[in-house]
Amino acid sequence: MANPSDRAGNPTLSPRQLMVMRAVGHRGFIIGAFVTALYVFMAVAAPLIAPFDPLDQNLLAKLAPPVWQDGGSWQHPLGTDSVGRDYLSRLIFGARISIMIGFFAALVSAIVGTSIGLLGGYFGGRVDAVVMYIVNVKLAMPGLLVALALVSAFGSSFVTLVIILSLLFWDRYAIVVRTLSQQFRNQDFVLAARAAGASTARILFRELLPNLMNAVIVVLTLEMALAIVIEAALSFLGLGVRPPNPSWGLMISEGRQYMFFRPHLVIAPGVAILGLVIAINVLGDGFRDIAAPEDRR
Amino acid sequence: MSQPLRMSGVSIDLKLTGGRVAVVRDVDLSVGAGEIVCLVGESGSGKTITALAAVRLLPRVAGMRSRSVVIDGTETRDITDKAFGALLGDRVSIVFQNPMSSLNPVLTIGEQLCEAYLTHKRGSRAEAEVRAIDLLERVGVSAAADRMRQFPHQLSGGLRQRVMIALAFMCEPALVIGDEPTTALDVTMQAQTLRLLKDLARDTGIGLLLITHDLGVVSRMADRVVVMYAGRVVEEGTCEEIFAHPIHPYTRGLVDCAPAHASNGGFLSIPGEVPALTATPVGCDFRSRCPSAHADCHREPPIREEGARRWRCVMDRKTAQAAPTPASAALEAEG
Repeated sequence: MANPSDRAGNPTLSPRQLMVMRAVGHRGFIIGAFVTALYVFMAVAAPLIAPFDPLDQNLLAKLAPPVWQDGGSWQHPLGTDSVGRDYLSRLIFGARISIMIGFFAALVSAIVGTSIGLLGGYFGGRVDAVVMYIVNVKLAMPGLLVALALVSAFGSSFVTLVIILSLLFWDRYAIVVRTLSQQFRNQDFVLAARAAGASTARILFRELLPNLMNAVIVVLTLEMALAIVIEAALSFLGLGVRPPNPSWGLMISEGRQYMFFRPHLVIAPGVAILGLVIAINVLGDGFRDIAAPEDRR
Repeated sequence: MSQPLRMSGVSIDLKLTGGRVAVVRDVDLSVGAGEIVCLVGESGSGKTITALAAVRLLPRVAGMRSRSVVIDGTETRDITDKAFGALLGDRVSIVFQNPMSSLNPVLTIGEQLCEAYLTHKRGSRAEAEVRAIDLLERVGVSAAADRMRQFPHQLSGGLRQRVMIALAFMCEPALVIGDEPTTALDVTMQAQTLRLLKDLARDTGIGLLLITHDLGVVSRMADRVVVMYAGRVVEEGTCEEIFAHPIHPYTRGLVDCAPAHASNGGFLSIPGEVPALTATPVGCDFRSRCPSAHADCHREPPIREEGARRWRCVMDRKTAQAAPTPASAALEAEG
């Protein structure tokens, strides 16, 4: 054929290869991914790397100072808390709760919000009116207050926390996905899919959804960071994770009364939250650059 | 073998804010097995929407009435959308105008080809792939097996349109509709792509309905030509007949306007404009531009038939062919 690109094996890369290449060259993405991966590793390998059981109390060694203060020892690098539990171990195990709750809350809300947005955006008309009504009701709701009320009403097991947090976060997915699917539903390939006899479900999930995934993943990272912060806030207020489980928010709350002579009891979990949230945000930001670099210039 | 397409009495309204507009009125159209029918007309003549109506892909604002739409022997007038979906892509498929946007950017060529097959046919993914590679080779895509793993953006426009054509033939349909399939391609690719479509249709006995406004395409491709004007069929006949002996004043004007036919080296045109569809005149739609228009044209023109030839005009064949064509009349008026 006369066309030069008719030869196979041409040097153009698949979208995936392109994304990997851009990712390697993107400093923010790499740093975010590295730090997030560290946290995830910490969470997964917690029983292996933590020096003590986070629940083991030792009242004889309570409020031991950290290693950099007088009387501190390497046995408890971050000292112990008010009932003598090793603070470093609690911090490491705390990563599990934050990441699990953050991830699952973001995931469940992604599924809910994406489905709602997809329906409204693709069908339009009355379906869209209903969807936008629900979104508006959600936006008008004082989210944290509702979360507080629900937690105090239903208790705070892991599952209820995830469900309540996902109720807080689905709206952003819905709005983003709705707008995008409004743009995509009039594309020729959707008409072509209909002309090929594709069912509505297949058009939604096979033709449209893959085109929306990049945006959903970006929102997912941002929402996950937010969910982690909210979980910490709920735990701090005593409505999240129950003691004696180690949650960073709960640890800040417990350390509060010793803030003036053992400030690291508050600072250490605070820094842990800060680090994770920043890392996830940088990661999500970088992912947006990588997935759709044309949106930013 | 049943006829791939026979639609009769098709009328289409668009619901607009100002009310209803009849964009297609009482159109009959049929395509035989192995036959290539070209639907010709200028923009807004209703040719695309007629074809979309045949496959129920009308925009939401459009409403359609018909006496009958038979696709590959199945009367589809009263069947549900779901039942119709089973025919779509299987018995009838479409090649759209723009190959750049008609493929899903995030799915590989192979996935899209196989999915078209697996939606309608029982069979394994492996069988679908074999068929897809075979078809890609037949439409002249080199290294087809490698292409299957590529994404649309890695292919040139011409290649993508070949993929679209392969996609249309995946399920061996009875009818393929091409909605200006070559308009978006450059001229060298146009000829190749058309030859490809023609060969495929001939080899497989598939009926091909080609929508175009390019008379060069028509003269090379068509067995039969259907000319539409302002939402109506004004003339219908075999390709040779239409080009050699056009009858309807509009067709005669069109043939005159094809650059190859312009004898004086310049470009000819039909003076005037298509009547606004919101205000189509009673009687013949073409009369405001027709040099032979007279009082009788204010009444509905009769449909005259001579064998396979049909035209919608008050004039019989002899009178019509003796009358001045719109373009020559315009030239005379100028000169």
